[in-house]
Amino acid sequence: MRFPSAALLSLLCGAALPVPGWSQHVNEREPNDSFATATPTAAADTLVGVIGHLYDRDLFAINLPGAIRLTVDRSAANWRVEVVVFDSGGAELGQLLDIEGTTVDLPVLRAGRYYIQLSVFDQDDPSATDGATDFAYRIGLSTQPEPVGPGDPTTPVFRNSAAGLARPGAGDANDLWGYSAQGAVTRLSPDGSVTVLAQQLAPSEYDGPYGAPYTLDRSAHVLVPGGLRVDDQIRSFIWRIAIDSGASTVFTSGDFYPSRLNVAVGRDGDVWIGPAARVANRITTDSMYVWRLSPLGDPLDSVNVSGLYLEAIALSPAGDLYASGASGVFRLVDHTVRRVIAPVREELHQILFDRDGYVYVVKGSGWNRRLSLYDPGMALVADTFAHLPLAWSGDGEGQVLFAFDRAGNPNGRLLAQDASLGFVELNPSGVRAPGVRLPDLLRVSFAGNDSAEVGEPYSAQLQLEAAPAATQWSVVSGALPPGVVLGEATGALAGSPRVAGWYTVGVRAHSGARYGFARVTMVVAPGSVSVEDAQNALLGGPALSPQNAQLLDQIGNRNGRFDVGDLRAYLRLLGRLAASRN
Amino acid sequence: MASLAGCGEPPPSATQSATITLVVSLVTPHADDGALILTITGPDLESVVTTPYVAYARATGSGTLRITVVGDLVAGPVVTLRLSVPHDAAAYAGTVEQVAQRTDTLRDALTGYGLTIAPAAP
Repeated sequence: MRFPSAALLSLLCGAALPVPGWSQHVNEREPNDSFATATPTAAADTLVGVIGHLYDRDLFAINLPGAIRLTVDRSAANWRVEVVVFDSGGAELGQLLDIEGTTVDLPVLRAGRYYIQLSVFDQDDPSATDGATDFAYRIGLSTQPEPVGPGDPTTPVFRNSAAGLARPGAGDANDLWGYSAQGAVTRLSPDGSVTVLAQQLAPSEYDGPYGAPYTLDRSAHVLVPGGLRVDDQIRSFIWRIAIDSGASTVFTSGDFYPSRLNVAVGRDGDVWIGPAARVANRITTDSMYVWRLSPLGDPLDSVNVSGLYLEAIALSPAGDLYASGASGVFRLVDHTVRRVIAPVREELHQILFDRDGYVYVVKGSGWNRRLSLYDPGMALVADTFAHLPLAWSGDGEGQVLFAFDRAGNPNGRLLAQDASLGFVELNPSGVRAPGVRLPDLLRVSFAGNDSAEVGEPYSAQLQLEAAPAATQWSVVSGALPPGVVLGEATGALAGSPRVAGWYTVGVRAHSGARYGFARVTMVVAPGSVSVEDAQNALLGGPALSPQNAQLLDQIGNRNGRFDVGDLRAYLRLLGRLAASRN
Repeated sequence: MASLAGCGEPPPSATQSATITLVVSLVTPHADDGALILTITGPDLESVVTTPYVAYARATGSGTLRITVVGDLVAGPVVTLRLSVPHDAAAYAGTVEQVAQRTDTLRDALTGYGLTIAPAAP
């Protein structure tokens, strides 16, 4: 251990020189390397001392009244002197490292005793400290009133350091979903227990974590963005994972880059993903999109949000799409982008709607993150609704989310992730309404034959089960066979198909405030293909026409030729193959 | 094409008698066969008379009968054939030409497939 120089020793013995510019000086009194021995100080003091030997650190104790903003000014100190502020429990509230500017400026909401630690990074490395060993400092303290919001103060919850969920999403059962440090899709229960649902769903090349998992249909499934490297090409997926079994299927795949992708689901069941670049040019920000998918993952639409620097999307309770980011909050309806909240001096981040359409907006950065509240007309209700903890640096500005109870209903709890990947709960008495719990889609039943024949009358009936009101039907993806139409008010499929082929359509039902969705597949056979002709063609008889052979192959295994597997599929389609697959 | 059958059976003995119906049985290494094309060769083949599946036969020349068999197939009898003139079963041979799985996917390899042909039980 090295000792301070003689000149500096006088300072340590209380013979400090006056420092102009500060009204009151507090000289450090060694030993002050611990909370117990911290030198007492007060707001508006100037801290004076020397980091004078290897591993030295100087701690000052200060009693603060709460509801103030504490500023620790390092401008009159050696820039290598680092500042860390702790609460009375030893939790780090803020820090200022050697390259981070001159002030720590952080809200202090609770009255109590706080500690300011001064130290020098890499003091034992002469190359890092230009050979210096003594670092004198003068640190200015000041305070000013800080507004306290209705959501203040926050309380730590879900404290499970083993979980460390990145990109969390709220589950339907008072639980949370996210990615573990190992990249596994993980469930964190309120009791702190951790369940791994699925292991790595993306190649290590990805700069995860990926988008927040999104739970569906009262915790039956979870949608998880991810990706795979296939044949040296990145392919992006949204996985649909059954929570009870962990079985995963591809919900959709496409040309979107899944890192930090948001998933949002509308009242109609459509799934919105984004904002994200296309895989081919993910480095740039000038090709960002939000995609709309059907409840079964069929691509429906996309919205170009290039140049808006967006980082999150959300759907209002009315079903309107909003997106947020550095340049504001935008409403994206009917391909029209309209900014509804503009940033003032600071960037905006995530947005979150409550049940009534009020919207929370994450603002600021670092220790000065806060939540603002706006009404459904986007008028400011509370600029400081609540102060937010420091976010995890790998997750942008962190996640804020509503929780749900075990019955799948919003419980009014509003959570925010902190830098330790744990969570804090905002003051529940200040939360005006719970989050949005979308009703599940109603089931659509199909009565009729899924095969038809060119020129022959065809009819089938779609029905929305438990529809609360008259039902409106529409085709939202694909196209029906020419000659067949869907009755908008009846759900009847009827007509005489004119063109043979394989048709898949997405059909939406809308009844009151409820929706249903179905994917309907129809095969229209040319009238001339008889089973006997098909069988004879396979057995060396007259060949089918190329069109008919292609049609039967499309019905069957789609391997480019007509074979016995296609015959099997055709017999099944015609109802001549009982007790078989499909 | 897969292995033939009739072969692998014991050679006809002097005590074997001519028969008017033959049972064609499938030998398969898989449990998820969904459709077959078979070729049976031998004298005086007439038609398929019974099958637990959906079968269709077509004579493609003198002494050749080609058959499609579709269903959730298992090893064992697949079709029973009628002959127009009684013969020993040993006079017949069969080949599996094409197999599809129950998912309709065509199998690439037919290794392990075969047919046995035997007189129908009286």
